[in-house]
Amino acid sequence: MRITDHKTLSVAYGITAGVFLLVGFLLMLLLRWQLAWPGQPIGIAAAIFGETNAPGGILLPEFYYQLVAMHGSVMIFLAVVPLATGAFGGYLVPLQIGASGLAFPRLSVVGFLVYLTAGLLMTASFALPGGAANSGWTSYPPLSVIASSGQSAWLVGVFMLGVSSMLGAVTLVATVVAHRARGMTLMRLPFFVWSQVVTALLLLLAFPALQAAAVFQLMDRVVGTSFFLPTGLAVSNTPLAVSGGGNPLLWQHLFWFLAHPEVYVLVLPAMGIVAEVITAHARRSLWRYGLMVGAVVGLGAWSMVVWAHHMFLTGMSVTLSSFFQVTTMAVSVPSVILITSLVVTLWGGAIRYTTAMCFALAFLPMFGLGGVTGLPLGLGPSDLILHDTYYVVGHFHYLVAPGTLFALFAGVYHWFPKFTGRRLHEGLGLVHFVGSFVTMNVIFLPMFLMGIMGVNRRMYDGGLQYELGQSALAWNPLMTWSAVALGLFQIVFVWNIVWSARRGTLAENPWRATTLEWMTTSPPPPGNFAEPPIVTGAPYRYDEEPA
Amino acid sequence: MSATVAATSMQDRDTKAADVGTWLFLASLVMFYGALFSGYVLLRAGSDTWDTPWKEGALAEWPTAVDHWFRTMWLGFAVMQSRRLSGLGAVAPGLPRFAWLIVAAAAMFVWRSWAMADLLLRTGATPASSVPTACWFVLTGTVACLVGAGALASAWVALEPVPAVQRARRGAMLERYWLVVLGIWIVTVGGLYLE
Repeated sequence: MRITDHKTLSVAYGITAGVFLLVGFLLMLLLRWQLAWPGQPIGIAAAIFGETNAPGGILLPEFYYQLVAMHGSVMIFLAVVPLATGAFGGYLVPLQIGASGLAFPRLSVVGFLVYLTAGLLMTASFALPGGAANSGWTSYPPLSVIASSGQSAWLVGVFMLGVSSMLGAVTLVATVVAHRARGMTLMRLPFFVWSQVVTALLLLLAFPALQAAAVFQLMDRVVGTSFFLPTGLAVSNTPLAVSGGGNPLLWQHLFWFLAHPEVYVLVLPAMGIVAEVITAHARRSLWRYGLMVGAVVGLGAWSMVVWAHHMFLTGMSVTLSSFFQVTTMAVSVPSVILITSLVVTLWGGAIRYTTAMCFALAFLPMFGLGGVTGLPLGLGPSDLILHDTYYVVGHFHYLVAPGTLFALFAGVYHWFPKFTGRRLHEGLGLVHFVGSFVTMNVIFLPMFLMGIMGVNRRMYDGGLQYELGQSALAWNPLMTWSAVALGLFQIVFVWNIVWSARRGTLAENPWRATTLEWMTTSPPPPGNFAEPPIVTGAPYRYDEEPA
Repeated sequence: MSATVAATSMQDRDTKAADVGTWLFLASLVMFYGALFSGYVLLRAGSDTWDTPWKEGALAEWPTAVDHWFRTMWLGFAVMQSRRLSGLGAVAPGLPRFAWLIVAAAAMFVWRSWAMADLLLRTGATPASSVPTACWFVLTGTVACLVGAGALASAWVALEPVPAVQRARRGAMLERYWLVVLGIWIVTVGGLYLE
């Protein structure tokens, strides 16, 4: 159990990111309470967050916006990305390529420690004077530059996360390039490995832009520079004592240069997991493996030239707007190729409706819904109407919550026998799946309706002043109760893990999967393989099975 | 998928991984600096006036006016020494000496950067006084930080008792790093000092 062993380190990533996932979820429950019953006290809020944040248990607007900013930041930067890359990628990639470990194990440990420190710093910033960051996870200036001290902690944390991502990405790609087993050519890599490599490259090349932006904004906040502060800025009718001359849009360009590829950082590992699960549980080889590899590489590369579709409202020129509308529409082509290939893979398969497969199958329409609802946001005219409404919240939550999270759940159910040598309980798993599927849709589907009615997504009172949105706001209590129920169904999941890890059915390779990670014992020994493997064929050999 | 015994060269593998890792790290570094420099270009292009106090007064006089050329030379010297370091192969004697020469060159660079920033501050131009001076401090400060980090890495190469072949390999990595830093410095000087 050495921490430099990639399996131990990945478990550490998984546990840490899981804790942050819980933190992000609890922040969301507080948000949802306020949206469902604006101004109504929450019994324990005053005791936990103090009278300054929640007098008499009623969340103050300032505190509400801290919750908004930190929910997004924690979920994206500290929970889902580390789960998808550090936990799943770190554990499985060396096994799937036949390596004995990571190329730079000590560097990986440093990366984990940097991630942990950044996470603790960002979450502990609630205790700072003025509280945590409160300018949204996008941290748009000039609001963020004049925000409370928690914003500085957020910026330092984000910079550190960039360092951590770089260390992890360098290690992963170097491992795949240099440590593959003999015979493991690039076109024999499991699709999950390809998805992880592209994800790592995205993190490596896109995160530095946000790090640079964080440096600029920290300078603005700490040293008094004006990179993002325009001339003549006044706060509460008082001119701000700065030189001015800066440009707030510079932040948006740098931020979205990372943040749009970040969407693919969230989605690509999910697609990799779903591909592995679908092939094994439908007994079918991936349809057009080469095309899928090309699509995932193309998707990663293309995702770096679409960032400004988040900025149509900034008054950009028609030429620039047209360019980004075209690139945004074009990026859907490789996405559709990937989803289509996964669906066609199912054709003629002997599908086993295990919990892992149910989550993987549910991922396809959920991700599809998230993707399709993104198209109007990628076109200037419709984005003008929908921008910053609940429609946007519904869109990206469909990609990440019933999208990526369902894929991660599928991965846990699929590889749990590999991690522990035991299977998760299928009955409890199906309860978890059905509960999560229903509650997530009840939470997020009404958001499209609210958004189309024009309800703004950042309103402390949930949008009570919008006359046209009143009928849609009636959904809020149901959505909140659904969020509570979602939390209860996750207790079933956690109980299943705890119980099955000790008493689950013993299983070496219950799915009869053909990828390399299943060719060693479960759980794998230190060094992964008793003898270095030699690869002689494609990763998926299900079509060779007798009918 | 069948699995049988295979023998692989651990050393070749590690060298390849280190090479790939170095290139990826440098790519990330270039993206970071590229984002900073893009910010500078965008701010400068969008500004009606662009004051340049680092090209005026005492900073425009000898020897400060040519100081950045000296600093370019120091970086070039660091590149040369790391090239010699990587070219030595298994010839162990002399390896630490070259690494220490790199550290000395880097220290000279950082010292001169500090002195120039101090001189600019004495004229009353601080990062807070205007966006152009803020850009000057951030861009030159970033390069100084990169050079300082390179000095630490070079000292580590000099001090860590590893086989000469391995140390020479690290010299090759240092050479790439110093080349990238030199390129970044040239872009910085060009961006800040050319009209």
